[in-house]
Formats: sequence, structure tokens, C-alpha cells
Amino acid sequence: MDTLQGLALGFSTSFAPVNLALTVLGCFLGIWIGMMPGLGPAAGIALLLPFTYGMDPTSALILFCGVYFGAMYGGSISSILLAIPGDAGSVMTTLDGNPMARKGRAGAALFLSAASSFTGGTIGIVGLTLLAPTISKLAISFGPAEYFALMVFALVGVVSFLQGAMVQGLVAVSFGLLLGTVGIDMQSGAMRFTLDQPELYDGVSLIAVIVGLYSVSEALEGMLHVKHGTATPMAQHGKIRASRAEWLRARWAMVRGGLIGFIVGVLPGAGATIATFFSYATEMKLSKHPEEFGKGAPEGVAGPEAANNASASGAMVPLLTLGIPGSGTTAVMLGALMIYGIQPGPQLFTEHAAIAWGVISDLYVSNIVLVLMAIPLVGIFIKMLKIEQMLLNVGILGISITGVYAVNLSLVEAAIAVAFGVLGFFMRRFGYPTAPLVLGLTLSRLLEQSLRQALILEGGSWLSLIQRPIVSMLLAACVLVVLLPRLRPLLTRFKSGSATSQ
Amino acid sequence: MNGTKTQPHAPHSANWLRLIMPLSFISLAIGFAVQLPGIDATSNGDILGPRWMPTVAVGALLLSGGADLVRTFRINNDPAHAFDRSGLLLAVILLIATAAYVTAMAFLGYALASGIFFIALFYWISSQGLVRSIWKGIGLTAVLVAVFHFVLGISLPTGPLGGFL
Repeated sequence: MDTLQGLALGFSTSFAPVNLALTVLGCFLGIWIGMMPGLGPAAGIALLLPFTYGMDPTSALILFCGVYFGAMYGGSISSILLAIPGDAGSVMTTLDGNPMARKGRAGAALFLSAASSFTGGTIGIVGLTLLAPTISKLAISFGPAEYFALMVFALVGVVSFLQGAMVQGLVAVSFGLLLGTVGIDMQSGAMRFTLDQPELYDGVSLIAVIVGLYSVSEALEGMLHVKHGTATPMAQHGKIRASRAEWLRARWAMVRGGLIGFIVGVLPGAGATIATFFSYATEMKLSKHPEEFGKGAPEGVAGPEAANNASASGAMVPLLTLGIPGSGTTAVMLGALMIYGIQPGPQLFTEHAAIAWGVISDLYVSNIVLVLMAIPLVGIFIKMLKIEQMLLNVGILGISITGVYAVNLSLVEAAIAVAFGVLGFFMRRFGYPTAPLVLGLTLSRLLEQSLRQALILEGGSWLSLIQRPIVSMLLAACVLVVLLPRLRPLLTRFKSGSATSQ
Repeated sequence: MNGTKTQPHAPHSANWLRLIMPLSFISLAIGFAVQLPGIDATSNGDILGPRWMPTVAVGALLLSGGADLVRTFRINNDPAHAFDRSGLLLAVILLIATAAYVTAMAFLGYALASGIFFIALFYWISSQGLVRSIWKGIGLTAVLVAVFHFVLGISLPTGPLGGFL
């Protein structure tokens, strides 16, 4: 069966009235689940799983696809309006989305976010449709050594955009890396810094850290403003839609973010977090207004949002073609497929063609349904800004703590969120960036395991490890990223000097 | 003494407070470093072993924390970087109250602990009067219980309310 025949079969499944209704329901539920701190797409699908046991597997997967895309977009709504990223993939959207909202451009930020999610999602799905077999082969060639180099590149990349706060950023990223070592060592089984707490055996909960650093600290800061009478309610200024200038600045960022998101999303384990960090760093490097980043740059919203949604489609490539989950959400979907007695992998497209193509075509449908649903809802979401400040802040605090508790029904994790709320509050007050801490924590385990596995495979030789072509390319790129900003003034001086002498 | 202290600090400035952050991070690094020898170093053919990454991360945190301490000392006497400590005491009280709320959930259950905490917050922070604070606190708790317990099916800590929830 070729691609076109497969798509025709898939769309005939997706456009069945029941499946179309499930797509709409999935997108709707996904948006609201994504807005809840701690409840990302993986938790949303896991929550819905018991309700789908009696359903046709294709219909269940169609519902999950809607939830997946909806939750990815939903995370950006709370990031923009309330500075609460629902999950790690939405952290970068907060950096410029919330400042845009504070400047009275909440509607524009939400519009750009919806358009970027659509663009990124479309790029990702087209990539999934056309390039899945080729890219999955490439993904297999990405061994532990290549993963290690990619993680190093991501860490170097994050440090590169810490203008004026390099030392504080290095402290944050180092602390994140150290936190990531808490838990049972995957390779040797050794306990590390667990303090005999079963909740720490699997490591420090990333969700608890993110919700604490952003939501809890934001709510506490907001309450202090109420107490001091300095709370300024956010208001929408001008048109709700993005202005022409904002569109022009964001349009290529969406495309670049989509491409970055798809490529990184395909790599199992890399996921939306790295994709959004890469996209943000790229946009900051390419922008004519790098000084506006962190203060409400439209590119800072568009790039990461597109990357976030494109990575969702990218993560479906290893799931559908190899049976390897590329992200936490696809891991839950893999579990669901296995519950229905379907083994994803190379045989999926031949043995269960209707399911495989049904899922792919439904990603197209979900993407369109989501943008059609999101744009009219912008006006309703903006009304959230009119909620009384104290009620909003207490509500955020309550939802955040309950959301973290709900993930594993653990009060210890809720306490961890509060502890990181304290840390986030002081980091913010003292000018420490929090995003590098999240990246350090996200990458720590993968970085360590990849390096250790790579060295075992290379017989302990560091030299043969860095001689691998992709590794040497990525490490050379790291050197360039570090050196270029320092070499640029020298080059400019050299050019101006030679021009004067002529 | 660098002889450059010519301008008085802002009324609420207390730049020494800035030292809290680098010192906290350095203390955390030392706390982790002390536990390093306790990690079982059996590597099973693994060249680097389970202590390698924590050692590197502790080292990186100590180095960057040290650099941050030096940076903080440098800006300490600079009025341009005066630190505004207003509201800091209130923030600490609020943070302790939030920590107490999570602890109380284990004994009082979700609904009771949340209700009391939210009412206290509305009354203390926004000074809305006791009756309004009670209504808002109970209303918010009811919404959260409805969403998380009844809609999402999450079992919240029940406490003395037992099977009521």
C-alpha cells in the first residue's frame, strides 16, 4: 500500500462521524487538561484510558491523538496568561508569552500560539507521512554517543542565550544536572541521594519541579502584590488578533520551530523540551531584536510553540515505525496499543494498516480541529485575566499543588513542588533564570546514561567516541556556539580596520 | 573597603541578602558531596560508574556557585544593584504557611486543609472580611474537589471526613 492509498484509507476512518466527534472531544478535553499544571498529555491520556476499554482501538487512538494535540496547545494557554507551564515543553513559551500578556498583547500571543501550533503540527505530520521510514532508519543510527553529543549541544545552547546572567544560569543548570542524579542509577542499580524516600527512587519529579518553580512561586509573588496593593490586573490592549508586525516577525520562526521540533521529536527520549529550547535559542540568535527576548518577543512564542507541536508528530515516527516511544505521551499510547493487542513496529503498516493510517490521518484532522477550536476560544481565555487577582492567585496555588499530588497521589511530591516554589520565588527575586534548571534536570539522566553506554560500546575509548561523524559534528557545533559570540567583535574590528586602511 | 561607596543605598536595600543564593547553592553542593561516598560504586564493567555524574555535577555546582559568590561580592556595594527586601518577611511567612498546608493535608484531609488555608489567605492577604473570605474559601475548595475528585476521579486525602468525600 503506497502513501496515497494509505492516507485515503486513513481519512475514510477519521471522517466517520463517531471518530470525528471523538477528535473534537479529544481536542476539547486536551486543551483543558493541558491548562492544568502537572496534567500534561501523558497524564490526560492515562486518565482517559480506562474509559476506552470497550471502544474500537482506532477510535480510542483517535481520541488520544486529539487529547495529545489539544494538551500541547492547552499548556501554552496557561503559560501565556498565567505564567504556568503545564509541562516541560511549555516552559519556553512562558518566557515571552507571559511578558506579551503583561504588555496587553495576550490575545496576540494566544493567536500566534494557535497559528504556530498549527504550522508546527502540519510540518510534523507531513514529515511523519512522507519521511517516516527514512527518518526512523536515521533515528536508529543515533546511538548513545550521538545522544550524549546532542545533550551536550543542548546544554551549551541554553548557556548561549543567558545574556547578562551567565554565572547564575550555570549555577541553575549545574543544580539541575545534580538533581537529575537523584534516584536509582539505571545502569548499576545503586541508590543515589534518595534519603530512603520511595518517592525519590525514580528521581525528583520533573512535574513537581516545574509546577513549583513557575506556578507556586508565581502565585506567591502575585499574593504579595495583592497584599502590598501593587497588583496590576493584566488587560488586553488593542485588537485581540496579532498585528501585522507581529505576524511578520513570527512567520519564519513558526516554520523553523516546526522543522526543529520534528527532527528532535523523532529522536526517542529527546522530546519537546529539547526541541523548544533549541528553537528558542535559534530564534534568539537569528532575531534582529535579541534584546526583546524574555520581554515579549513574538518569535519567542512562535518558535517554541511550533517546535512543541511538531515534536508531538515527530515522536509518533519511532512509535509507529519501530514500536519505540519517543516521548512520555507516546509511551502511554504504546501501552494503550498493547492493551488492545496491537504491537506497533515495522509490521503495523501491513498487519493493521487501518489503525496506522487512521492515526496519521487523524493527526491532520486533529490539527485542523484544534486551530478551528482554539481561535474562537481566545476571547474566552482572555476573560481569565479579568478574574479578581487574589482569587486567581489562590486558585493557581490550589490547582498547582493538587495537580502535582494527582500525578502519583503523593503528598511528598506536592511538598517538593512547594519547596521548589520557595526556590523559584527566591531565584526570581535574585535574578536567577529558572529554565536552565529545568533543562539540566530533564537532560541529566539521558546525558549520563548515554555517555556511560557509549563508553562501554567503545571499549572505554574517549577518542573513538568523539571520532564518530555525528558526534564530531555536534561537538564542533558546540565549540562554534561558544566561540562565535566572542569572535564576532574581533571579526567586526578586523573588517573595520581593513576598511580604514583601504 | 574600595573607597567607591559614595551614594547611600535605597531605603529598603539589604545587599547582603544576595549572598543567600550562592551560599545556599554551595551548601546544597556540599550536602550532596557529603553523601557521595555512600553511593555503591560497584560498576559491573561500566567504565565511569554511578558516582561519576554526581561528582561532575557537584563540582560544576561548587565552581559556578563560587563564581557566583565572587560576582555577588563585587556587586554588593553597587547602589545600582540595590536589593529590595520589602515584603520578604511576608513572603517567608506565606511560604511557611503553604508548606504547613501540604503537611496538614495528611492529617486533616484535602477538603478541610484546603478550606482553612484558602479562607486564611483571603482573610489575611486581601483583607476582604471574614464572611466573604469564608464564602470564597469554601467555594474554591468545592470547585477543586469537584474537578479533581468527581470529574477526574482522583482520590484526594480524606482525613477526618472519611467516606464523605
